[in-house]
Amino acid sequence: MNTPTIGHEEWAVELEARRDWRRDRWGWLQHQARQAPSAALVGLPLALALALALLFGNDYILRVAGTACIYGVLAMGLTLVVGQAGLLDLGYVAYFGVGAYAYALLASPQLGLHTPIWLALPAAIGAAMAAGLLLGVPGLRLNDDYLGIVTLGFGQVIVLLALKLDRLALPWAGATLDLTGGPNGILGIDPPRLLGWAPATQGHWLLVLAATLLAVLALASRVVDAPLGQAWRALREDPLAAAAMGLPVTRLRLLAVSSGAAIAGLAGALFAGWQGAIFPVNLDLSLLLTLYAAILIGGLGSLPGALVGAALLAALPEILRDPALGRALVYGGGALALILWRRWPGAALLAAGGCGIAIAASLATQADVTLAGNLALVALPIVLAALPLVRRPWQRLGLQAFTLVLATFAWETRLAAEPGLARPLLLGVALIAMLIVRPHGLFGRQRVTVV
Amino acid sequence: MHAPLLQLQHINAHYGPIHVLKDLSLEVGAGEIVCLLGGNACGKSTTLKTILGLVTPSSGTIVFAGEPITGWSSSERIRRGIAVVPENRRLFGPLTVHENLLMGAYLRHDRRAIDEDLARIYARFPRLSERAGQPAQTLSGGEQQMLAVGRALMSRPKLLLLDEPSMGLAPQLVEQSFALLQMLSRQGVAVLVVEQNARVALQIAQRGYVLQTGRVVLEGAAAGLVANDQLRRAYLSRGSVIRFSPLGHGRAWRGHGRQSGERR
Ligand SMILES: Nc1ncnc2c1ncn2[C@@H]1O[C@H](COP(=O)(O)OP(=O)(O)OP(=O)(O)O)[C@@H](O)[C@H]1O
Ligand SMILES: [Mg+2]
Repeated sequence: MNTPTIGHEEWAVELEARRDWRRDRWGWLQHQARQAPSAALVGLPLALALALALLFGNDYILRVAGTACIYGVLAMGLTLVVGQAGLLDLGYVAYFGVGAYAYALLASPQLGLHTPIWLALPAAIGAAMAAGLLLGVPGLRLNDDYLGIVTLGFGQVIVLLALKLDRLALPWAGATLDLTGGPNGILGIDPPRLLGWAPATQGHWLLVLAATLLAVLALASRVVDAPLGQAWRALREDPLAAAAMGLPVTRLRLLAVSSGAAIAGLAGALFAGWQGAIFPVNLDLSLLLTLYAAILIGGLGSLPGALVGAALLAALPEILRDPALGRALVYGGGALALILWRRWPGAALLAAGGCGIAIAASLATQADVTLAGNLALVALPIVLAALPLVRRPWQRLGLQAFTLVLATFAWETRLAAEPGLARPLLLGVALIAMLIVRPHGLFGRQRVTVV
Repeated sequence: MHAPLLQLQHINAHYGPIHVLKDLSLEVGAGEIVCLLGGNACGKSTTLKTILGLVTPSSGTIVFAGEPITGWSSSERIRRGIAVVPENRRLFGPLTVHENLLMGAYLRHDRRAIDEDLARIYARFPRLSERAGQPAQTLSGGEQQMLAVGRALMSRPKLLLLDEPSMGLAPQLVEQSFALLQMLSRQGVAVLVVEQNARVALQIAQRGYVLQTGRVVLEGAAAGLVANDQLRRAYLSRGSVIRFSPLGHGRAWRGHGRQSGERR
């Protein structure tokens, strides 16, 4: 954004330059170059990660990277709706589902249709947008929390439809139609084939998904910087004042919802083509929570933030799957957090010491440590809650050390062995820590509270 | 006499069962400054919202620049040349000063002219240009007032509506912002200003209306209103808060009632 920060004389001088870039091509290029740094900030690491994954990655790594791309596209769409336009849309995953199922129906043996991609993809996006508008038109009269509730319900309705539409009665034909395959989903979905080429390997797929990601990023960042994005933010802050400035409130909101839905629909269609299958469980609430976590961690309304958040949330569970990597992450991250947050290197030493003690203890006993681990898990929140109550320095230090030991013990005995339990727990802890340390997210703009 | 730019004819407005504006008629000529006075909750803000199309009157007609605009949307009215500085300013807090100004020009598409208007407004309020990249909510009250006026001017209005522009401003700043209104009116912009600070408002206005519980109880040339005894009674009869004293030196309101800044 080229907002002036200096006196108006300079601004007036700049006015000529600002006009120039609109007039001729060279000026336009220069203007783009001036804006390059922020684009490079996002683009370079992205390209680097992509290249590394393509060069050295096995199928597993490529798959995770692909998931990160899908999450990234979805998170960008969501951050437009929630972060920019300020609409609490809890039915967002439904648009993903509509896009995925629409594409699946048009390009799979389910109905015997094998529509070409240039028709199926726009149709899937259109279906998702239609779903967005269907909900948007009546829903936008509602206030924030009500909108949230209504959209949440809508999201569940879509999942129910996906589950139940496997026996759609057709009275006029005297038969039932299996539309969605119910819980078994739709299988054998065609990969997108364009000009005779279809992605065949995970590497190909990653290229397709990353290209989509970049396209959506380019488009979305244009919109965010354009008057439309400004209008969305104005609307988010004060709808009444926005109306008093003549902003078409309803139209702007519908535009936000349908753009978000279109992006989600695109992601859904690609996801269906990539997996070759789509199931109702792909639309469950955990995806919605993951996406919200991604945009909150990244900073509400920020596109780079949405991408970083999505990448973190796609990668983190996979890292935690491997006990050794998980251990390194937990201890390394924990020590780093303590140093950064409490500015207290001693804490890191304590953490290391506590970790040693815990491992030694668990190795020495070799007995059934599950019970002890469970006890430690229960004790941990209690101790954590007690921490702020203790005032005396020495008692405090002791309790802190005890907490660390307890935490490492619980981790070693229970969580490391059970990634299914550890992952959501760690994610929750990370989110809470995030909200305490940096409530506006990694890339979000801090809201100044004027008192 | 100016040709009337804005005419409200027998407007009635309701919020649900509450009858707020009762057979209200008023006129603003082109380039004229008109003030709208009245105690709390008598419907001044509602009048402005009705003019702007944010409240739909249950009966009556609004004519602007010779066209009946009663059924028009706010956007259409603003495009025709009505702009507002809302009560409490209602800036877009986290948006920058610059973006706030651009929001005022949202309905315009002549980018070149918009740039020129921006330059003009930055020249008129150098303080705003110093703060152009800063979130609007970090401005001081006076700067926020400048920004709210600047934002309204960005739509190149023929009629500027202001809802209690003096609220929370030091006397000197009040004088300044009213001087600005006078200058605007000399440039041909009509001004309809709602004020509690009747003494100052009547100094710059050519004419005034006094509202009481949604009815015009008094209207006329500003000079006449200043001298009018009834004006005092119109306020005094509300009993509770005496907010101004057109004849005295403001002693009456200084110690009593709420300070104007504490309302939201
Ligand atoms: N949106 C609304 N819904 C219901 N009642 C409203 C609404 N807005 C205003 N009112 C009521 O209408 C009456 C007139 O309100 P209005 O805001 O026009 O008063 P005002 O003259 O501007 O007062 P003040 O000087 O305090 O700003 C008040 O009694 C108020 O409670
Ligand atoms: Mg008012």
